Amino acid sequence: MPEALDNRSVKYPSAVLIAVLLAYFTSVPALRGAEFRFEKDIDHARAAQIKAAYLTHLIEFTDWPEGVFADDKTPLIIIVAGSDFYGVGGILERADKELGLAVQGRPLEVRRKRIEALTVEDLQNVQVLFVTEDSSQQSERILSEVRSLPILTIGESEGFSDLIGMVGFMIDKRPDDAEGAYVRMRINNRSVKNAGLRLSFKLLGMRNLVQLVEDDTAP
Amino acid sequence: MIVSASGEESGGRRRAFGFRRMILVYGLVLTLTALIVMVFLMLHNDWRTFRRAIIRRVDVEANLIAEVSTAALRFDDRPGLQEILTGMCRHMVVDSVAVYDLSGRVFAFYQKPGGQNIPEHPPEQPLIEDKWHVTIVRPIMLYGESIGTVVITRSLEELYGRSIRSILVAVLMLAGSLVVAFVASDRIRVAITGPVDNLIRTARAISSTGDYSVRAPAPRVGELRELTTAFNDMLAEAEAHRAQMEQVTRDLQAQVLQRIEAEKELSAYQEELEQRVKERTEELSARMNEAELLNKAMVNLLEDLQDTNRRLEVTMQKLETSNEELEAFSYSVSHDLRAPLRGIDGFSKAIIEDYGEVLDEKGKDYLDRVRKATQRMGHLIDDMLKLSRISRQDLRVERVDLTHLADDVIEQFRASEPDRAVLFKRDVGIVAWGDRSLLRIVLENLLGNAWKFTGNRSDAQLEFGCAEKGGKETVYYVRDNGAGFDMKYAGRLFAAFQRLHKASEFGGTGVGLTTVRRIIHRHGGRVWAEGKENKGATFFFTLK
Repeated sequence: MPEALDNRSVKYPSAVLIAVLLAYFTSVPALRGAEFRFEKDIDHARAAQIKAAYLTHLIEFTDWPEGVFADDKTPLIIIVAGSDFYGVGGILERADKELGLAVQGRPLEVRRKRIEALTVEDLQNVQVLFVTEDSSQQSERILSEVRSLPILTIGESEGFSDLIGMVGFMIDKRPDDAEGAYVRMRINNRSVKNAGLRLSFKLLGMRNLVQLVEDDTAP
Repeated sequence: MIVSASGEESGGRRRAFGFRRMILVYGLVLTLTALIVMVFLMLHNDWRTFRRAIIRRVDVEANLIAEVSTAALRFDDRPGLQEILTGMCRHMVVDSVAVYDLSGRVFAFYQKPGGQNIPEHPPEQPLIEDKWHVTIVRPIMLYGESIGTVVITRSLEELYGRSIRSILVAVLMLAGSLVVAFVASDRIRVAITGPVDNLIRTARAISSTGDYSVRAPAPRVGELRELTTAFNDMLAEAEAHRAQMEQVTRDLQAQVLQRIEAEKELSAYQEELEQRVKERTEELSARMNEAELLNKAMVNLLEDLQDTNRRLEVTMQKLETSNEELEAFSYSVSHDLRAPLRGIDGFSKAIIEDYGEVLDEKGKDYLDRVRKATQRMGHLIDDMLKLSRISRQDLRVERVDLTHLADDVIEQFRASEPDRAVLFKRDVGIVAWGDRSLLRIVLENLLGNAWKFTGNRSDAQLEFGCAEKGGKETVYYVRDNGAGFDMKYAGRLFAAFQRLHKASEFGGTGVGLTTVRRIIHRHGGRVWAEGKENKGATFFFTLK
């Protein structure tokens, strides 16, 4: 994976993004130290890079219903709710501001909000809601309020997608590589469908990376 | 003849063989050319089409893999893509599939066992074709952005195998069509040369045997049928001509033979004729002599005859004269006799009246007898006059109803003798052509005779009728059942003054039947009688 992100060609913005992310995280020791707070054997800084990359890739493989974007140049708005302990939102902000990262041919717009203060009005014309690790517990209210809106909801915690949330990141040890971090996604496709969104089969077909929540009783 | 026939035969065989080989060769060359061209075009087309189809398919597969690879490339899911590739390629006919990441390194790959090695970096050209492989290079795109490259290599073995199979099939087809062409050409040869052979054979048979009745068997359809039919017609005509010729020859021969025969006969006849002429001449001269003699005799005879004739004529004239004289004499005598007779009768009557008292009975009786005799003589003279008158009178021929006439006569008899009961039978409608007054005299006499000779019978029966005799002449008859006569005197019946019965028995002068005969003769008819003593008599007469 790291080798794959090493491409310098400006032609490939997402690859550039990943390269930037790599450089950034290696230069932030604070974040590096943080990874030992929870689990010593997981490289959380790398995990954050991966999560940020996955988030943008998730957007790439998501279809919003027609009319969500006014035109082709309308920016795609991401709200990062929570304290962003691992810095995923920061990576995204940096990529957006410094590199003019575009996803699906649109510029990204990253906004930060506190989960407690988040209202339905705040989420008007927003396409992605990223709930960081710490705010996962408080997200249920706003999630239930916007669950029928076309907003891709992604949580940093593992259990995020077990209720109303759509995608939750999981961190595992790689089965083939004892050293590296292994980020996987747990997707509640029912929630995705309820919101009128559609995730590409290509995404759902990656059995190693994607776990589907099979909870028919979930609202 | 034999030599030429054998020559023809070998020629015919050569011709038949020529036909066959020609048809076979042409057929085969045509078929082979057509087939080879066709097979070549087919193979070429097949090769191109299939190759293009393979490339298209590989292209589709490359796109599919590129599409499927996007997420895995994005999420760096190397084992996931590897798994997907392995799963997919197991169902694809590919040699190798390789997905390269953006840096041009192999991200995931699938390689068929024994397949081509995967290049370390993706090739530049999008399509690489070599003899045995085709390689397609496709970028993996996501939102207009290339995120990797897919390279698929596919073996063309399949194409070669297919072509080899096609060639095999073509070769088989060629072989099959060769056989078919061979058989067909043989069939065609039989269809064409068969009838031709038949024609040749027939012609040869005719020329060797001279039998024109041989016919070539005609095929069922086609121009050869027409040809054979025309040939056969020609044969028929030739046969007819030949038959005609033979007939003419035969006729000529027969005629010649006849001529010779006739000539022979003729010469024989001539000889015979000469002989005969000789004989005849001799005979003739003899006859001539005889004839001369005869001629002389004839001349004498003729002279005699002429003499006799002359004498006869003289006699006839004499006879006629004497006959006329006789008739005139008898007429005048009869006429002249009446005056003295009347004198005798008158004076005898005067004596009885004036001197009756003077005479005794005996004298009176004598006188009476004188008177009766004179009266009878008067009757005789009347009849004689009548008879001579009949001879002289002219005939006035008309249609006469004899039945009516007979009734009239019988009525007259009945009136004169009303006491007699006589049964009279007559046919109705008896007609004749003749002189009415004369025919009346005939009937008066005949019926009068019948009336007279039945006088002593109480059941007197008279009959008058007619019968067609032999369809030509009508025979009239008068029949009675009276006294009749002996047939031996039948010839005397019609002679004048011949009586078969005494006057005392039956009255009459004996002139009646003579008169009848004369009248009938004058009418050109005949009269005759049949009878038997006391058994009645029948008188027949005919009229012309």
